[in-house]
Amino acid sequence: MKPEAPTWATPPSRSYSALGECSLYAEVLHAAEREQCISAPGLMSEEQGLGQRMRRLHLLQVPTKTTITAIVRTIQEFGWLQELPGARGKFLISDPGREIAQEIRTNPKAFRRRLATLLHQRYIVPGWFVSRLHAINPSGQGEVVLPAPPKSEQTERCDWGDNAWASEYEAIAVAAAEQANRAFPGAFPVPTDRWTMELKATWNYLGTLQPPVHRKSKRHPAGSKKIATFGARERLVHAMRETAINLLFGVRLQPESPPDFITSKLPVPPRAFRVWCPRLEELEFIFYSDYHPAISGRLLVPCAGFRDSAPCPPFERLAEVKDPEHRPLWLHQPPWENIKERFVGVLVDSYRWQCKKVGAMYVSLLNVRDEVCRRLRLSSELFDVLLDRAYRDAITNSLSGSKFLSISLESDITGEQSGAVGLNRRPVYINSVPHSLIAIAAAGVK
Amino acid sequence: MENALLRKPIIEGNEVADRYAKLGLRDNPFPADPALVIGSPDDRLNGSIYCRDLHSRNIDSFRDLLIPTRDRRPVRSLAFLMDHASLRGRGIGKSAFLKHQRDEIMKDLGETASSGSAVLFAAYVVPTASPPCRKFWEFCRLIAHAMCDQGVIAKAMWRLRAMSGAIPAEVLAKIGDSDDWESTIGSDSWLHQHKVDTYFALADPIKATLSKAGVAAEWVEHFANHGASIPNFGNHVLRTQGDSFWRRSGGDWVFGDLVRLFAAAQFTRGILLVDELEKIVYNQNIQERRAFVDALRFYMLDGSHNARVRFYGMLLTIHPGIQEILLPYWKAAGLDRLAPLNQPDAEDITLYFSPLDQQMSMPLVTVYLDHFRASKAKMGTIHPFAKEAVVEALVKSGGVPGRTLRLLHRVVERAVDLGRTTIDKEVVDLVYQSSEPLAAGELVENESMPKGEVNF
Repeated sequence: MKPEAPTWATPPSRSYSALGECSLYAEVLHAAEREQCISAPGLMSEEQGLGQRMRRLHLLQVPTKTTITAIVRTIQEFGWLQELPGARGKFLISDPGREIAQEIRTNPKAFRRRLATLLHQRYIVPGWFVSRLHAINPSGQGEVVLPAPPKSEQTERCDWGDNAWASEYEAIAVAAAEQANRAFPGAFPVPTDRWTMELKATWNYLGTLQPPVHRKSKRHPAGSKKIATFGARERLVHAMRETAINLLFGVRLQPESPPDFITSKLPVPPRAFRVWCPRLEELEFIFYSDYHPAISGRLLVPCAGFRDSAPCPPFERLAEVKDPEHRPLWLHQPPWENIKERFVGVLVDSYRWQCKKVGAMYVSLLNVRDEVCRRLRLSSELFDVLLDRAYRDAITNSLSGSKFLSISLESDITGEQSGAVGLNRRPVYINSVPHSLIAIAAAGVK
Repeated sequence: MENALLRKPIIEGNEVADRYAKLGLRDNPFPADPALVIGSPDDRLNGSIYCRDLHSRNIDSFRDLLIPTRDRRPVRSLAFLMDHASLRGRGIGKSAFLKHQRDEIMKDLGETASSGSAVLFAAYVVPTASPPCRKFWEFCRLIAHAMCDQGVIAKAMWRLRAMSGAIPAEVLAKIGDSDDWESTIGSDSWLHQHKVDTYFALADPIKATLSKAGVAAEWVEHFANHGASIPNFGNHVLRTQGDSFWRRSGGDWVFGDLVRLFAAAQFTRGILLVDELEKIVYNQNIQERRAFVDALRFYMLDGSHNARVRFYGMLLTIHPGIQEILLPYWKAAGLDRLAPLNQPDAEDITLYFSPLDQQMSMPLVTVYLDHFRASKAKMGTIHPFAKEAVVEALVKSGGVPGRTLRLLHRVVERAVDLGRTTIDKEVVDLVYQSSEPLAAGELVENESMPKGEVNF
């Protein structure tokens, strides 16, 4: 008799309101260390408050009270804060909390690892997500694409109830899926008929939902009743994303295979997916990009894997994050000396690929970053560190290899980045300054 | 140390450079910035170094389309020159081609081109940034200025002078070749020296001829008094006309009065070689574009005096990008029937410029090298280049002449720096790899991306 496959533990929490950036956790701890006691309203105030923060290239105001309350409660669960006796909602920093606040200052990487372990224990999603990526595309080392329609002009808005499914939508969806599989074989392993059938069903389902905002239709005369409308492209993006998430990260693609969890609930529903991706990227479990030049859609790449053992370096063991078979998670964290030749080789390769595509000498550093991180399974955080080293070594001509390389990095904001979409893309930080353009030239023979 | 205010340059423009002597050259034969600069003293830029063999097929097509012959083969009012280079970079040689066609026609007023059957002129028209050129009246002003500055109007006046009967035959025998006409029959003082009365005896019959041809009285005076001198007519007549004149009657003047002047001077046809039409079209808004195309139809094909006598033949240089932009307006104006711009209907009235191949590149390189050879011993060869070096440069520059010439310029400089006496493929490789971005080669669309390099 075949033994039943082990399943992941049921997540202790499914609330994702506490999934703020790591920096938010750090700021709350520092505020608790600085002040006598903290509370959610106090953290929102000007005196004690968390202040403005940058997310990508957006300037964010103070987080909402719900987010702050959830984060404070989560930190309390971790044992870093303790509630003031007799004062509900007021917290003091604990002794372990003080040690963590100190660690954040001296070794932020260790804090990220600690937070990753705790978030995995609380949600199970971080480890499961990495494992799931590898399961979706085992031959492609976990590369997964969620297809989206290609960039185009904004379409005309239609009445909310006008739910007709046009054949051109199907063509767009099929083309996006085919493009993904052509660029990254096996990255979207859904049969075409299944994909279009499920997509159409999601499209129809979205039409039956309550419209989010009632807008005045341009087609109706002024003064008439407000009519709810939707943009066809907008809904198609939404439907494709939701369908792909349900198929790949739910249990619907292969209902006959054993479920990952002993629960019928989706481990990562589409709304939570939006929150989890940036968080897992920050924890260096995955790399993802919505702008990879070879495809239209979101590319997800694991930067870690579960194994019994692995060479260290380049892998770093996260012992307390384990899969159901009790194998630990190994993060791909190569040090500079270990990867420099391969890093520079792939960097130059990716740069050349972009040059050919664009026909310019200075090309988008973010596009180059996406390709390098994909090929070398690096987190964007680690890419910044390695590029900084390569840049410095190029200046001092100490890059190994037969040729001197001249690397130029520019911090100009490109046209693409000045748009609303571009502001959502993580910049490459060199010395804390966002950079956006790169040019590489061979500067002669050594 | 010498006073900086009194110090004079020691480099003379026409000095032979020792730097290139090892290669057997007087100077670097290839232009550093290969763009046509009309009037430049540098032969590498002003279009005087020209390889006629490069576009012999296009020259034949050009003549078939626009130049009347003895057998009265029908000629077109509108034809197109399509620039294939936009896919590979600019510099395919269309401006040099147009300039050369103009020079050939103007040299003998079309005698060679039409096998002696017609009297022709050609004007090279290129839109300028200032004054701007978006509307049709601005285009007319541009044509008028080009015809004045390139001596077309003056040549018509010189023909009228010659045919007036007021200049004795022995004086006419002394006017020389086309290069001398401006200083002989075009010069009042030269005619005075030869006892010709330009004020009455010469001007009166010209005025009578122009009036008889239907030129407006005001313009008869202008042409007769100033038309024979290029600067006089340009500065004292044409450039004194304000925008209101061109807006009100620019079209009628260029396609009416001027046509009558040329007919009076017994010109059979005028060829307008319009380069870089995209500079007009890209700047136009929808209304301006529609109005421009409508006016083009009216004045060239069915409304003006020019359209009735089919005097002008216009060769429009069409960038592939503007073909698509212009098509709806072309159709709306009904021009698709008269001068189709769309494929495949446009095939028979379009000259196509394609990139160079290996066979074509050798004569191009030879003609530039010959112009700057220190001695005649190696004339007609590609020395100091090896054939492989030229082929490699051609491949690396995508077969676009402009880019090939620029690359060869750099190759010559590098060869001199290295102290070479001959130039082989290795020097070309060295130049291309050291300064170009790491981006050579063709892009394969929809390629499969390289696999991830980490094994989990």
